[in-house]
Amino acid sequence: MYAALWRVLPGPVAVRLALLLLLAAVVVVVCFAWVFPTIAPLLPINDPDVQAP
Amino acid sequence: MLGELLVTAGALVLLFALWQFWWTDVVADAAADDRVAALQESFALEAPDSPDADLAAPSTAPDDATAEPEGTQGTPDSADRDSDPGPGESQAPPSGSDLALVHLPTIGELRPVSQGVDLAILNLGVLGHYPSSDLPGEVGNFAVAGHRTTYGAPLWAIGELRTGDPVVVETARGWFVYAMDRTEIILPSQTEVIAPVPGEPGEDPTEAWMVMTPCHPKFSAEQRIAAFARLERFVPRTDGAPTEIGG
Repeated sequence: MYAALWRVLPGPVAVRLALLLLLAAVVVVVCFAWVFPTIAPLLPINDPDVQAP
Repeated sequence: MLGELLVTAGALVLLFALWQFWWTDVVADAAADDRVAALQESFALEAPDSPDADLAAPSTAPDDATAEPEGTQGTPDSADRDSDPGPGESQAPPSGSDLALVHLPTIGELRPVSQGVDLAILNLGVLGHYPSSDLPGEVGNFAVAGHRTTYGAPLWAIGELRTGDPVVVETARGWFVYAMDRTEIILPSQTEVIAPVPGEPGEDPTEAWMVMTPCHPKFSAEQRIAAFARLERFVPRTDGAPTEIGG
Protein backbone atom coordinates (compact mmCIF):
# COMPACT_ATOMS: atom_id res chain seq x y z
CA MET A 1 0.00 0.00 0.00
CA TYR A 2 2.60 2.50 1.08
CA ALA A 3 5.10 1.14 -1.42
CA ALA A 4 2.58 1.83 -4.19
CA LEU A 5 2.00 5.32 -2.84
CA TRP A 6 5.74 5.95 -2.82
CA ARG A 7 5.97 4.89 -6.47
CA VAL A 8 3.07 7.09 -7.50
CA LEU A 9 4.55 10.22 -5.92
CA PRO A 10 6.64 12.26 -8.36
CA GLY A 11 10.07 13.83 -7.98
CA PRO A 12 13.20 13.08 -5.99
CA VAL A 13 13.20 11.66 -2.47
CA ALA A 14 13.01 15.05 -0.78
CA VAL A 15 9.93 16.05 -2.74
CA ARG A 16 8.27 12.69 -2.09
CA LEU A 17 8.92 13.02 1.64
CA ALA A 18 7.45 16.53 1.66
CA LEU A 19 4.36 15.32 -0.19
CA LEU A 20 3.96 12.46 2.28
CA LEU A 21 4.13 14.87 5.20
CA LEU A 22 1.57 17.09 3.50
CA LEU A 23 -0.76 14.12 2.95
CA ALA A 24 -0.36 13.08 6.59
CA ALA A 25 -1.18 16.63 7.72
CA VAL A 26 -4.32 16.63 5.57
CA VAL A 27 -5.41 13.33 7.14
CA VAL A 28 -4.86 14.73 10.65
CA VAL A 29 -6.81 17.91 9.92
CA VAL A 30 -9.71 16.05 8.34
CA CYS A 31 -9.84 13.66 11.32
CA PHE A 32 -9.62 16.43 13.95
CA ALA A 33 -12.11 18.72 12.27
CA TRP A 34 -14.77 16.32 11.02
CA VAL A 35 -14.26 12.59 11.61
CA PHE A 36 -13.49 12.54 15.34
CA PRO A 37 -16.18 15.06 16.38
CA THR A 38 -18.69 12.88 14.53
CA ILE A 39 -17.77 9.59 16.16
CA ALA A 40 -16.96 10.89 19.66
CA PRO A 41 -20.61 11.05 20.83
CA LEU A 42 -20.89 7.33 20.09
CA LEU A 43 -18.33 6.50 22.79
CA PRO A 44 -19.58 5.88 26.33
CA ILE A 45 -17.19 8.31 28.04
CA ASN A 46 -18.83 11.67 27.47
CA ASP A 47 -22.38 12.23 28.63
CA PRO A 48 -22.50 14.36 31.69
CA ASP A 49 -26.18 15.16 32.14
CA VAL A 50 -28.94 13.27 33.87
CA GLN A 51 -32.05 12.38 31.95
CA ALA A 52 -34.98 10.04 32.09
CA PRO A 53 -34.09 6.72 30.43
CA MET B 1 -0.86 -5.15 2.75
CA LEU B 2 -2.93 -6.40 5.68
CA GLY B 3 -0.13 -5.44 8.05
CA GLU B 4 -0.02 -1.93 6.66
CA LEU B 5 -3.77 -1.57 7.04
CA LEU B 6 -3.63 -2.70 10.65
CA VAL B 7 -0.74 -0.38 11.46
CA THR B 8 -2.68 2.47 9.84
CA ALA B 9 -5.78 1.62 11.86
CA GLY B 10 -3.71 1.57 15.04
CA ALA B 11 -2.21 4.95 14.23
CA LEU B 12 -5.69 6.40 13.63
CA VAL B 13 -6.90 5.08 16.99
CA LEU B 14 -3.91 6.71 18.70
CA LEU B 15 -4.65 9.89 16.79
CA PHE B 16 -8.22 9.77 18.04
CA ALA B 17 -7.01 9.39 21.63
CA LEU B 18 -4.75 12.39 21.15
CA TRP B 19 -7.69 14.41 19.82
CA GLN B 20 -10.09 13.32 22.54
CA PHE B 21 -7.83 13.68 25.55
CA TRP B 22 -5.73 16.64 24.51
CA TRP B 23 -7.06 18.63 21.58
CA THR B 24 -10.67 18.91 22.83
CA ASP B 25 -9.29 20.41 26.06
CA VAL B 26 -7.21 22.94 24.14
CA VAL B 27 -10.13 24.07 21.98
CA ALA B 28 -12.76 24.08 24.71
CA ASP B 29 -10.59 25.86 27.29
CA ALA B 30 -9.85 28.63 24.82
CA ALA B 31 -13.54 28.98 23.89
CA ALA B 32 -14.62 28.99 27.54
CA ASP B 33 -12.02 31.62 28.44
CA ASP B 34 -13.31 33.87 25.66
CA ARG B 35 -16.85 33.51 26.96
CA VAL B 36 -15.76 34.23 30.52
CA ALA B 37 -14.12 37.45 29.38
CA ALA B 38 -17.19 38.47 27.36
CA LEU B 39 -19.48 37.76 30.31
CA GLN B 40 -17.33 39.71 32.77
CA GLU B 41 -17.32 42.64 30.39
CA SER B 42 -21.09 42.60 29.99
CA PHE B 43 -21.56 42.24 33.75
CA ALA B 44 -19.40 45.29 34.34
CA LEU B 45 -21.44 47.28 31.81
CA GLU B 46 -24.74 46.18 33.30
CA ALA B 47 -23.75 46.84 36.88
CA PRO B 48 -26.45 48.81 38.70
CA ASP B 49 -24.09 51.69 39.45
CA SER B 50 -22.94 51.92 35.86
CA PRO B 51 -24.33 54.65 33.59
CA ASP B 52 -24.65 52.00 30.90
CA ALA B 53 -26.97 49.88 32.98
CA ASP B 54 -29.95 50.66 30.80
CA LEU B 55 -28.27 49.81 27.53
CA ALA B 56 -28.65 46.43 25.95
CA ALA B 57 -25.81 44.03 26.61
CA PRO B 58 -23.15 44.49 23.97
CA SER B 59 -22.34 41.50 21.85
CA THR B 60 -18.75 40.92 22.81
CA ALA B 61 -19.05 37.31 21.82
CA PRO B 62 -15.98 36.11 19.95
CA ASP B 63 -17.79 33.55 17.84
CA ASP B 64 -21.17 32.74 16.41
CA ALA B 65 -21.85 30.05 18.98
CA THR B 66 -21.92 32.65 21.74
CA ALA B 67 -25.32 34.20 21.75
CA GLU B 68 -25.97 37.51 23.36
CA PRO B 69 -26.34 37.01 27.09
CA GLU B 70 -29.94 38.11 27.29
CA GLY B 71 -30.50 36.28 30.52
CA THR B 72 -28.05 38.48 32.35
CA GLN B 73 -30.16 41.58 31.94
CA GLY B 74 -32.29 41.08 35.01
CA THR B 75 -33.18 44.41 36.47
CA PRO B 76 -31.55 44.77 39.82
CA ASP B 77 -34.03 45.19 42.59
CA SER B 78 -33.37 46.67 45.96
CA ALA B 79 -34.84 43.79 47.94
CA ASP B 80 -33.50 43.24 51.42
CA ARG B 81 -30.04 41.88 50.95
CA ASP B 82 -29.00 40.34 54.21
CA SER B 83 -31.43 37.60 55.09
CA ASP B 84 -33.10 37.16 51.74
CA PRO B 85 -30.89 36.74 48.69
CA GLY B 86 -33.71 38.09 46.56
CA PRO B 87 -35.18 36.45 43.52
CA GLY B 88 -32.89 35.49 40.69
CA GLU B 89 -33.59 36.49 37.14
CA SER B 90 -36.94 35.01 36.28
CA GLN B 91 -36.93 34.97 32.48
CA ALA B 92 -35.46 31.89 30.79
CA PRO B 93 -32.48 32.78 28.60
CA PRO B 94 -32.31 31.49 25.00
CA SER B 95 -30.61 28.16 24.42
CA GLY B 96 -26.85 28.40 24.12
CA SER B 97 -26.58 31.87 25.64
CA ASP B 98 -24.46 32.50 28.71
CA LEU B 99 -26.32 33.37 31.89
CA ALA B 100 -23.79 33.25 34.70
CA LEU B 101 -20.26 32.48 35.80
CA VAL B 102 -19.45 29.72 38.25
CA HIS B 103 -16.39 30.18 40.46
CA LEU B 104 -15.00 27.06 42.16
CA PRO B 105 -12.09 28.69 44.02
CA THR B 106 -11.16 25.51 45.91
CA ILE B 107 -10.27 23.73 42.67
CA GLY B 108 -9.35 26.83 40.69
CA GLU B 109 -12.13 26.74 38.11
CA LEU B 110 -13.99 29.65 36.56
CA ARG B 111 -16.50 28.68 33.88
CA PRO B 112 -19.42 30.24 32.05
CA VAL B 113 -22.86 28.70 32.41
CA SER B 114 -24.75 28.39 29.12
CA GLN B 115 -28.40 27.56 28.72
CA GLY B 116 -29.00 23.92 27.79
CA VAL B 117 -27.29 20.57 28.36
CA ASP B 118 -26.89 19.32 24.78
CA LEU B 119 -23.46 17.93 23.99
CA ALA B 120 -23.06 20.67 21.38
CA ILE B 121 -23.17 23.16 24.26
CA LEU B 122 -21.24 21.18 26.88
CA ASN B 123 -18.46 20.42 24.39
CA LEU B 124 -17.61 24.13 24.41
CA GLY B 125 -16.01 23.68 27.84
CA VAL B 126 -18.87 25.42 29.62
CA LEU B 127 -21.31 24.31 32.26
CA GLY B 128 -24.83 23.74 30.93
CA HIS B 129 -27.91 24.92 32.77
CA TYR B 130 -30.77 22.40 32.79
CA PRO B 131 -33.56 24.47 31.19
CA SER B 132 -36.13 22.84 33.50
CA SER B 133 -34.28 23.93 36.60
CA ASP B 134 -34.25 27.26 38.39
CA LEU B 135 -31.98 30.24 37.77
CA PRO B 136 -29.07 31.28 40.01
CA GLY B 137 -30.15 32.37 43.48
CA GLU B 138 -33.77 31.39 43.04
CA VAL B 139 -35.55 29.34 45.65
CA GLY B 140 -35.41 25.85 44.15
CA ASN B 141 -32.53 24.20 42.36
CA PHE B 142 -29.98 25.76 39.99
CA ALA B 143 -28.84 22.61 38.17
CA VAL B 144 -25.89 22.45 35.79
CA ALA B 145 -24.15 19.71 33.84
CA GLY B 146 -20.53 19.74 32.74
CA HIS B 147 -17.79 17.46 31.49
CA ARG B 148 -15.65 15.72 34.10
CA THR B 149 -13.12 14.71 31.47
CA THR B 150 -12.25 16.06 28.02
CA TYR B 151 -13.67 19.19 26.32
CA GLY B 152 -12.04 21.41 28.92
CA ALA B 153 -13.12 19.14 31.80
CA PRO B 154 -14.67 21.97 33.85
CA LEU B 155 -15.63 19.60 36.66
CA TRP B 156 -12.51 17.40 36.66
CA ALA B 157 -11.77 17.98 40.35
CA ILE B 158 -15.34 17.94 41.65
CA GLY B 159 -14.47 15.00 43.89
CA GLU B 160 -12.06 17.23 45.79
CA LEU B 161 -14.79 19.60 46.96
CA ARG B 162 -15.52 19.21 50.66
CA THR B 163 -18.49 20.24 52.77
CA GLY B 164 -18.45 24.01 53.24
CA ASP B 165 -16.31 24.78 50.20
CA PRO B 166 -17.66 27.85 48.37
CA VAL B 167 -19.39 27.71 45.01
CA VAL B 168 -19.87 31.27 43.79
CA VAL B 169 -22.37 31.95 40.99
CA GLU B 170 -21.88 35.39 39.46
CA THR B 171 -24.58 37.20 37.50
CA ALA B 172 -25.00 40.79 36.38
CA ARG B 173 -26.58 41.57 39.76
CA GLY B 174 -23.85 40.18 41.94
CA TRP B 175 -22.58 37.00 43.53
CA PHE B 176 -24.63 34.13 44.91
CA VAL B 177 -22.41 32.36 47.42
CA TYR B 178 -23.33 28.69 47.80
CA ALA B 179 -21.60 26.30 50.19
CA MET B 180 -20.93 22.66 49.29
CA ASP B 181 -23.17 20.31 51.20
CA ARG B 182 -22.47 16.81 49.90
CA THR B 183 -21.80 14.66 46.86
CA GLU B 184 -23.72 11.56 45.86
CA ILE B 185 -22.92 8.88 43.29
CA ILE B 186 -26.06 8.33 41.23
CA LEU B 187 -27.25 6.68 38.04
CA PRO B 188 -27.66 8.79 34.89
CA SER B 189 -31.41 8.18 35.09
CA GLN B 190 -31.80 9.71 38.56
CA THR B 191 -33.26 13.00 37.44
CA GLU B 192 -34.61 13.70 40.92
CA VAL B 193 -31.31 15.40 41.76
CA ILE B 194 -32.30 18.34 39.56
CA ALA B 195 -35.79 18.64 41.07
CA PRO B 196 -36.63 21.95 42.83
CA VAL B 197 -36.05 20.15 46.11
CA PRO B 198 -33.01 18.01 45.21
CA GLY B 199 -33.87 14.34 45.54
CA GLU B 200 -37.53 14.97 46.24
CA PRO B 201 -39.41 15.68 43.00
CA GLY B 202 -42.86 17.14 43.44
CA GLU B 203 -42.04 18.90 46.70
CA ASP B 204 -42.33 22.67 46.95
CA PRO B 205 -38.93 24.27 47.49
CA THR B 206 -38.22 26.55 50.43
CA GLU B 207 -34.45 26.78 50.03
CA ALA B 208 -32.13 27.75 47.20
CA TRP B 209 -29.90 24.88 46.11
CA MET B 210 -27.46 24.21 43.33
CA VAL B 211 -26.42 20.86 41.88
CA MET B 212 -23.68 19.88 39.42
CA THR B 213 -23.91 16.52 37.63
CA PRO B 214 -20.67 15.49 35.89
CA CYS B 215 -19.77 11.92 34.96
CA HIS B 216 -18.52 9.36 37.40
CA PRO B 217 -16.08 7.74 37.51
CA LYS B 218 -13.65 9.75 35.41
CA PHE B 219 -13.54 8.67 31.74
CA SER B 220 -16.82 6.79 32.08
CA ALA B 221 -20.48 7.63 31.63
CA GLU B 222 -21.68 4.74 33.80
CA GLN B 223 -22.71 6.94 36.71
CA ARG B 224 -22.95 10.59 37.71
CA ILE B 225 -21.59 12.37 40.71
CA ALA B 226 -24.08 14.93 41.97
CA ALA B 227 -22.57 17.76 44.00
CA PHE B 228 -25.11 19.70 46.06
CA ALA B 229 -24.53 23.20 47.41
CA ARG B 230 -26.86 25.42 49.41
CA LEU B 231 -27.18 29.20 49.03
CA GLU B 232 -25.56 31.01 51.93
CA ARG B 233 -25.86 34.64 50.95
CA PHE B 234 -26.08 37.14 48.11
CA VAL B 235 -23.47 39.85 47.57
CA PRO B 236 -24.74 42.68 45.34
CA ARG B 237 -22.35 43.94 42.69
CA THR B 238 -22.16 47.33 44.35
CA ASP B 239 -20.60 45.67 47.43
CA GLY B 240 -17.73 44.20 45.41
CA ALA B 241 -16.65 40.59 44.99
CA PRO B 242 -17.01 38.32 48.05
CA THR B 243 -13.91 37.20 49.92
CA GLU B 244 -14.38 33.63 48.70
CA ILE B 245 -13.19 34.67 45.25
CA GLY B 246 -10.59 37.12 46.42
CA GLY B 247 -12.76 40.23 46.61
